[in-house]
Amino acid sequence: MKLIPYILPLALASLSLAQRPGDRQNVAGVHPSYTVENIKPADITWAVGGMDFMSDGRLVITSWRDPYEVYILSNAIVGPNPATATMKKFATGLSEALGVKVVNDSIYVLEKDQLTLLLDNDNDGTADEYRAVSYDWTKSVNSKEYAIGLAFDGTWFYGLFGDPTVSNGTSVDPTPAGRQNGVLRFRKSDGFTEAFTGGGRVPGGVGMAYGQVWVTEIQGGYRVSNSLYNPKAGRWYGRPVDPPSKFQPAGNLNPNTVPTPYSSVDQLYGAAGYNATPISVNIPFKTSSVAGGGPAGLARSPAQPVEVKHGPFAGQLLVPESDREVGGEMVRVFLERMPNGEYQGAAFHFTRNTVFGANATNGRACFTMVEGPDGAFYCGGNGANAAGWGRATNVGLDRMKLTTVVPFDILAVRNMGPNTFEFEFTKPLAAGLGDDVSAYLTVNTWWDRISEVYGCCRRNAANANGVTVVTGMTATVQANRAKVTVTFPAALSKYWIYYMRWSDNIVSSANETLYGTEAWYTLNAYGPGTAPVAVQPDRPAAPDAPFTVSRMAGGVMRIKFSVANATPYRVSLTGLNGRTFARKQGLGPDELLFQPAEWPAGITVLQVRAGKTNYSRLLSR
Amino acid sequence: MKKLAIRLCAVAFLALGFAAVSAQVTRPNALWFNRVISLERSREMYVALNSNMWVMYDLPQAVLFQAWQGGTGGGAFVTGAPVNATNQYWFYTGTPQFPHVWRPSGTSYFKDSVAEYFATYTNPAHINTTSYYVAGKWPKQPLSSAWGGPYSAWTVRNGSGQNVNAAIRFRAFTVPNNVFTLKFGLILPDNGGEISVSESPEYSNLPSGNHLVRTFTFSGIPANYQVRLEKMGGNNPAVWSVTSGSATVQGGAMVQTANGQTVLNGSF
Repeated sequence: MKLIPYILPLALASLSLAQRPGDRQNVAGVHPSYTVENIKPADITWAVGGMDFMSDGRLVITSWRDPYEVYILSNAIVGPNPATATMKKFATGLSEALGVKVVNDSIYVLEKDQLTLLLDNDNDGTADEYRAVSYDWTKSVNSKEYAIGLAFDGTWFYGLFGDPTVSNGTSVDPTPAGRQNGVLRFRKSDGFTEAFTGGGRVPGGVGMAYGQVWVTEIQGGYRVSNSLYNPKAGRWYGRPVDPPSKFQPAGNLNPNTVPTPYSSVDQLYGAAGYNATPISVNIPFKTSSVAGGGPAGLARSPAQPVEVKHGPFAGQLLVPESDREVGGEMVRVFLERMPNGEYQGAAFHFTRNTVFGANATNGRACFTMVEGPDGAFYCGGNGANAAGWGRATNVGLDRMKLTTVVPFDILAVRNMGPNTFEFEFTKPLAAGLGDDVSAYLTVNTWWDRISEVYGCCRRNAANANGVTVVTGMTATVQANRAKVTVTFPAALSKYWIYYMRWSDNIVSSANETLYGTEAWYTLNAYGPGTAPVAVQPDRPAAPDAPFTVSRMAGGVMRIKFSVANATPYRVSLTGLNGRTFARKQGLGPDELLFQPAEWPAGITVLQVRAGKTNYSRLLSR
Repeated sequence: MKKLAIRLCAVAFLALGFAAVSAQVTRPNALWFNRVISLERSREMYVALNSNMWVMYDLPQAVLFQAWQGGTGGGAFVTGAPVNATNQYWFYTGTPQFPHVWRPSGTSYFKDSVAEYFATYTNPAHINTTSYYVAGKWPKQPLSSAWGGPYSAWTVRNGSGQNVNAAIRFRAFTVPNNVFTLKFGLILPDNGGEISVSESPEYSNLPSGNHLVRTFTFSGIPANYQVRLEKMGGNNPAVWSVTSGSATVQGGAMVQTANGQTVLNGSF
């Protein structure tokens, strides 16, 4: 049931014509709260694949060119005179290392076909052992089967793997047997590998925030938006392949016979046989050819998401732009944790891609971004272009540092309930605006249809290509004048994107206009939500778990706890849609039986807390 | 007599090799080891030992399957069809689809087919050879024994002579002082442990001709078990001889029954 009350036929009817950077255009440069300086040593003449810091401030950096190599920059790179940094080759002969993670000063690289630990056994500054941590994934010769990472949660490494596409965007059919388009994770202790999620398209980046893994996809599922989400075990994010990848619902989604498989957003996320997981934040793709029109998007190729820990946007994410094409922008994302435990939020203008890289032609990209020991962000560019990630480019290494400047900007957008949003600004609104600022707000809404190939489309309330203009809302300034409550006359539609733009009539108490006038909010659940919560990462169920899971006759599942006397435990069985089927608790040692009625068919997530440790395991029945 | 001469040369070479630990071995190419993707498979690795001896390993199968005299034809991110292979699926309607392949150049000594690697969590039904390996789709390759096929680069037999279906696990390669060593394991079923194997290839022109000298080291072989290199390389087992160690060549396979070092010499 659609709850959008007011529909106008033309999407842009209420938009004014004048545009400026940050208002229906990309911003012009770097966000005023930051500075960007190019610190690329002359020796770096190649695109950057991945970066991470050693404990002493040295920067590990991988090259994305043939040969694929690993270099270490001296820690002068984080100092006041980065030009004095020296660079030494550490490893060579790799297979497209697009991810690197330093754990206890050991260097792990995610190659396209292997997770590798590089060891310098003779301590001469060069790797002499290349140890295979895992290569347990199918990799054909198709070069679009990217592997991007790495994130590490203390137990597992996480990487995001692309589907094998051909030039029109179609997935190869049949896909290489066993190829998993989604997140794989690798246990550091023994290399054990498991498919973690499915339904991914082209990976953008992988990062850690709030103790959780976050990933971006370039137009995930060929939506008209880029995807940002925190992957959870066993979930599927909407890109079908044939034959079905792991976690992909079987039967309804052959991309060859059903090129646009979902007729409605409710079907996409809720119907039996589909049941895709909603994307936390859809970041509209910046293009001039969105079917159905509507407001221009924000960014083109999202990269490694990074948590902001300092400054006015602490607690939010930055999503870099790895595309050097005109129209790319690093995006700022506000996230909130909704009552159902899932994240959603809004994307905002932040920084133009053109500020990165010393060379205006071949710069303009930030593919991998990490926080340095000095609290600054370090960006490595790969100079991708729109078609196939061409990489014959010479791109930059940049440092982005916090300033003391706080411009007038949208700080956050929160959903407060079925028909309410709350805006928070970085500064109070001018008193002269009064309390009713409804006239200065424009709202469009739509959902992104998934398709097999490029080209589809925003869908409006009439389920046609286009967007819906929402009217009738009131926008009331709260007492502190830094917040505005926006109330709609009827319930907002779940799973839809809400585009909200303030006109330049909105000014701060110091008469400043907004740095960015627009917000794109992905509404999957009603709030109010809470700030992101740092979680303790799950620990693996094996081999060190104090319990075993076995299956008995008649579909009965047995969980046996081998723990010290009187150790408390809790067990829950949860579906991939978040529904809990069974909960049990007690004191170990103990043995639990789950009857078939408590343990539904399909994939469920077994979550166990034994003592003070959490474990999770996927079950299939 | 010839075999003895070769054995002596190999021993002399090994002695030189150990003596040269402090000095780097000179290789014919700056990028003398490189993990590459060929037209057939990913997870391959060439090692340039000498301009007269380049070799290629398939890492998941832990097997040396190609040797040639010459060098590299490069490849990386090519935009043209590297060979006449328009029927293969990554050539969509005749146009190469982001091929990223590497090619050797020169004169081949041998090149074997090798099974491709599938993730352990692959649905076996998706490797249905009647639908997966059809014309215009994925090119026909031998199916490994792990997936019910006939291909095994390495096997382990128990005291009864039965194949115990050990799983091959590539572990690492090392390159100190420009000496390449491949390390892998043969994992025995039923928690039977792991047989560790390493292989270090070298080139020799002694006493004459071109030789590929492969030094294997085995540990963890259970009593009465035998480890068999079923794919020594090429179609002519006669080019291979054991010049040091306890292994024998039997029916086209190198058979090792005891822990320790074995040198396998290929003459080309």
